[in-house]
Amino acid sequence: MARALEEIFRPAGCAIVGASANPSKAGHQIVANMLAAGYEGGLYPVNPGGEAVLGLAGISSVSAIAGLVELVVLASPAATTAAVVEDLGHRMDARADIKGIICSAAGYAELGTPEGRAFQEQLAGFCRQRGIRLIGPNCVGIIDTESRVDTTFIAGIVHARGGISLASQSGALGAWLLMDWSATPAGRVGFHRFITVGNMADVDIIEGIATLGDDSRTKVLGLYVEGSPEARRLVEAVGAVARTKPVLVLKVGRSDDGARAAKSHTGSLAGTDALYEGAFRQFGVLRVASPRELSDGLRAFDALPLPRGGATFILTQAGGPGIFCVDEMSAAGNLGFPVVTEATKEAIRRSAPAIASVCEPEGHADITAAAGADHHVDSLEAILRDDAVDAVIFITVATLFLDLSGMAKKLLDMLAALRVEGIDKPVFPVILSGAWVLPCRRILEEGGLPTWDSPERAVRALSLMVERTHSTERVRT
Amino acid sequence: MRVLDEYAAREYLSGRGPRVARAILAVSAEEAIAAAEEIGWPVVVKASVEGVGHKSDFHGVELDIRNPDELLAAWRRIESAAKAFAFPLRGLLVAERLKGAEFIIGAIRDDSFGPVVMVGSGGIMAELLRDTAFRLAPVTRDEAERAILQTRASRLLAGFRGSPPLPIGLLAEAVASASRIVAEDPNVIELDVNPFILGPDGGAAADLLLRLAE
Repeated sequence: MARALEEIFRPAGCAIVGASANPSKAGHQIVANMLAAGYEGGLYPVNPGGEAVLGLAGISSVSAIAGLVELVVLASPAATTAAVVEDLGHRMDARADIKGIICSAAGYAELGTPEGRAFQEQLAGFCRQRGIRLIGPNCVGIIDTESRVDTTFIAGIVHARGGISLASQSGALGAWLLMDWSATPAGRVGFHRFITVGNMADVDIIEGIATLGDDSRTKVLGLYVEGSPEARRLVEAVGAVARTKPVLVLKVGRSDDGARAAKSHTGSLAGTDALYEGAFRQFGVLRVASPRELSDGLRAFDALPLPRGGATFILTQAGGPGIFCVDEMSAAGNLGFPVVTEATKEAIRRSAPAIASVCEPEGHADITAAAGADHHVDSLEAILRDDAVDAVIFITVATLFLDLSGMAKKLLDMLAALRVEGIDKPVFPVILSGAWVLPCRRILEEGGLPTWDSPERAVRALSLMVERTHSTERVRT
Repeated sequence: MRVLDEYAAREYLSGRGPRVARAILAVSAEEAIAAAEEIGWPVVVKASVEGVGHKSDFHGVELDIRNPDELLAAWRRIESAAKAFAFPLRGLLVAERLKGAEFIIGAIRDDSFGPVVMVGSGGIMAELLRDTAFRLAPVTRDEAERAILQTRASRLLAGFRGSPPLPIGLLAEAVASASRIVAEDPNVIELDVNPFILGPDGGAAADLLLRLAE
């Protein structure tokens, strides 16, 4: 029985083979990322000269490290594989403490050369023989914000804790999201774990998915998948996770459908993408169309309560963006407008400027550009209190006389007070737009409420949540 | 690998899988007329040729035969078409004329997904429309219904432009039973039902093709 991948995420002691003082080397950035993540175990830069890296003493071999080494990250060239395996062999003979190896270096089987394949087999064979789990080669590595591990060489990651985990068949695509999150209004998005699998010489994407699925701190799982020859095992693994938590998948390769030549109707229609699509729907796995939608959906699921249904009230301070939002909602297919009570309509009218247009049509209120901070927050509260409302998209376009920051603080206070009363519904603040509104968005995001720079992003994230609500109802019945 | 045409596929399945339109194999014109009398006019007549999948590709199907004269004429046309293509004619399959909306139901053993089932817009335009939904097989009737509702063709079920509503449950049951064939019979590589014709009062496969491992 192979050692659980789970253990690799929280190693006691980590050696970075190929660690370098040269900032342009991956072996430098990995040490920097471990430090930035705040890793508290023993961290050992290993290089032939025993040169120090970022203030950490260097050492010339893993077998010479005095402390515990449960994880080894390989950033040295593939051509050094034989020497590395020999060193690690000595270590295992003497200490037998290595549980996992993450091979970040490229130059292995992905090259398709006999030499590359031989290097990979040498490394993988060693790991099999010694009961060590191998991630990669040719991968970006793993991150765990709880155990403060970051073996990647991705620049500019902010290690904030949250309930999102990501498994990616592409290191670069995963890096894209993580790097993007540093450019959100609050400068960070909390996440828990990240894994890329590279050449999958041992740990494959399926095991990565299952491990993150079993992880209790992972509240929502995001996947980037290119495909697998074992497609059924893959989709069943994803489906098993979707039974317990939302799974969002960006599956690429929509265009390789033409590859199958077939004489029968079914054969010619059974493109790979159509099969993935069908299996995802069958298992209640949420498919997204872009990295941005993946990011938006993950953030919404982590931060917001699941809506009870799709009855969505649009509270807008501006006509056009509100109408655009109505169109986007109708395209989403699973969202509708609630009919609130006369008492709620009256409460919105009392809260909003006199010229406001309330529930004409139903489920929509335009409180106009005359609205101040209190008008926004008080009418939102009245709407959230109505039982017919499952979710609110809250759109505002900054005017010079609107106290945006004051509004943001009041909005957070109001939501917190409602939660105490047991009213907890997802609210999607669409704050338009640009640099002017960033301070307001920062306040909201630091308060745990994701903000949106355009209505369709909020609509799509909400639509994914409603899809999840419906699919969990289906499983229960 | 072996491809079974409609007649041989019916024999192989012997009642398993989706309901199939009533049909009788006739090896002479006289038998064909007797078969049509038994089934009831109008009938559909189809060339029965072992190993030939798509009969319309060589003029092997006539859809609306109303009387013995039309049947004799159809017999002669199909016979000469088969001769022109050098297809050995087993006989003529005389089948019940179904009316309704055309769907496609397919079940296939995919190399990497294993057994899967498909449903969608059927008929000769199936490949053009590409309006289908897939599921891993086997599926329950409920899951089959969800797959059906994912297709544009499902709008026909609610009664489209004045046509009567159609029983989705019958179509879902046919999809579920096709999914069981490919999931449970390891010899089946593919079951292709096109069209499955669904009317207000019933539905059945009007044509099928079966691909076996051996």
